[in-house]
Amino acid sequence: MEIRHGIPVSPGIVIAEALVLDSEKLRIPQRFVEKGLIESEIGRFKQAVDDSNRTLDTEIARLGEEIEIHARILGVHQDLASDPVLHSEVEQAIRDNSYTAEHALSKVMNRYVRKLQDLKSPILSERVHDLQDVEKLLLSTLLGKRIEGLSNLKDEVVVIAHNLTPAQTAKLDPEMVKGFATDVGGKTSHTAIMGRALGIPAVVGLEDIATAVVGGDLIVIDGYRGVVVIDPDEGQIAEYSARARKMQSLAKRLKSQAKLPAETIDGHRIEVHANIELPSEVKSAVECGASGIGLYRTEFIHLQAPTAGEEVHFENYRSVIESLGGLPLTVRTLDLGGDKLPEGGLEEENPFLGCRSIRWCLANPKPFRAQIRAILRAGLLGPVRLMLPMITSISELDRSLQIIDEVSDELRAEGVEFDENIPIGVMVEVPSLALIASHVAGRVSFLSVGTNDLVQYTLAVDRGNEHVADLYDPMHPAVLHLILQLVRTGQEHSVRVSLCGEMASESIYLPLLVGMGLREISVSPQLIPEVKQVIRSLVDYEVRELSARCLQMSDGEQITRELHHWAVDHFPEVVDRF
Amino acid sequence: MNQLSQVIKITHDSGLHARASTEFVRLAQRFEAEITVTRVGGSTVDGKSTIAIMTLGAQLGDEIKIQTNGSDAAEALEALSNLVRHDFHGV
Repeated sequence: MEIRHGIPVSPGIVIAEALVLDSEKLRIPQRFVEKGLIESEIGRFKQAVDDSNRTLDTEIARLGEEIEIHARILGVHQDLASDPVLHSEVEQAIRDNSYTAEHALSKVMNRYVRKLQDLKSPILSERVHDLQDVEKLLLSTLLGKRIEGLSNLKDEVVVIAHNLTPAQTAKLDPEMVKGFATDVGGKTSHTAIMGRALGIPAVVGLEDIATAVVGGDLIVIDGYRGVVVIDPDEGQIAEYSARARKMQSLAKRLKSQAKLPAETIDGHRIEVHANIELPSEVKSAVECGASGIGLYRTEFIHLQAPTAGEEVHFENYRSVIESLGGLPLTVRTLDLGGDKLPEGGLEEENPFLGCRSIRWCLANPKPFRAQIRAILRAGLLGPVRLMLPMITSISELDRSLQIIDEVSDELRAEGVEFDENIPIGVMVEVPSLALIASHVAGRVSFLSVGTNDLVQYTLAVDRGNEHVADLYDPMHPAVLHLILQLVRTGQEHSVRVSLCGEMASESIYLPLLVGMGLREISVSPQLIPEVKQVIRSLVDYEVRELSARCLQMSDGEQITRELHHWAVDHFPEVVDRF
Repeated sequence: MNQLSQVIKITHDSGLHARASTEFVRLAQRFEAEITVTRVGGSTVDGKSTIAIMTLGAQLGDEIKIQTNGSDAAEALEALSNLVRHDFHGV
């Protein structure tokens, strides 16, 4: 049993056998044999080696001298299949652990593959393929007719890979794939998007899960906490099964009520919008009860095709707006840099404090202007808002607004129709902007708090750095007071204030946010049913008292404890998950 | 028993890569003697295992120590040292 921690990117819990992509294309149906069968299992392995060598003999003879190089490679395969060290280690693994021949072979081969990869020699790392070919040959000989293909899986599996590519996911049978776990990736990786689109749990950033797991291993993926358990023991299987059942029935119940408005018991309506990155996510957002898209991340359009011009942007926006059927859409302009590096971007010592987001856009006006043209034009197709990220000062805001004005003039001069009254807002992600919010409020139609960055910049904690992860505290009083100030400024100036970011995804924080006066939040589509349910259990004057109490506390941990107790008392079934 | 050893520098451009390892092992297997290979400053492995020798990761300029032990130890050592010195006969 082994527990690994990564980044949770799609919620849910699943227990299933692993299908490891890249290193292995065959699945091992059985991993252990009874003690009494160990000798016969070793015999099976030796038989498989003999049979495989005969297969290779025939193959080599057939190739003859015509394709000599290929025959020579098969000769190497033969040597590898007959390798004495391999044999003795497989035999030992069968004997010591009661493994089946297949599982023992896979484990031993996996160890050598890792060793070769660790050498970081390009010549030897190519040899990894030879080892994998030999493993495959021996496995298929051992398994006989029991081989299963990728596209006609007979059992449910979780897919483990170094990094899932669109080409790989395209081949998978979505009916049988119940979870993803990958070595690399972040909240916006292909794995994350696919996980959310399929509604299955996914954990990324596990570093070496693809080599730590052998195909056929039993795996638990906890997409709420970002935990992956390899070879869980009976107690863990029972615990996770119980949680999975509970979560499923809760999710089902919540989803059936997802279309109900998010209104507190005493009648305060909260708009719950969805954060998306791809047009294909809109459908599930609407099904989950989103009353709009509060954050459309557009970096993908640019990263997939850095030369993407106005039309590519426009087509993406059109597709989103059409799926929304009249619900509002907030498009965030390109937020590149930081962890989302554009091709040929700058090498910076400290990219999160560098030329990212709006700074990158102002330094690269061509793609920025193309995007603004597309957003302004898309405004004619439905209710669209334009949101500028990472603004830190009034002059930066004014320069951005000036570019929007210039682009509008351009469109007018060309006779191109566009939305003349498109609401323009800013994302408040930097403390400096939060502190001058009253000056900002007069210039824009809305403010949206981006909590992920606001926490990072307020507390000087890199949210991607595991060494300081424990200092990343969204409940730090400094963060909360900045948000409170924004909400009050919005109320004074009649400017809408919304909140998007992970903070709103944590159910225990919701009573505090509502109590502070927030009336619009935006979260991942899958979380909307739950968020709405929690809001429907709140009484406004109660949570106002709660938040007043919390805002007097000096310590984030104390606030979290208070909110946790409150949640346990008021919506225990949701809190249980964590 | 007859234990012998020799240290040789790898002069083959690609080091002790897969096919070079194969050639080495094929030759080693012709002898009765126990044969081990050590990458100087690294680990020691069975000289009759291609997989094990590959994972030594011995590259151009690295030194390896071949150690033979058994009735035909001298012949084995000479044959294997020659193979390494002659860049594995150009494989």
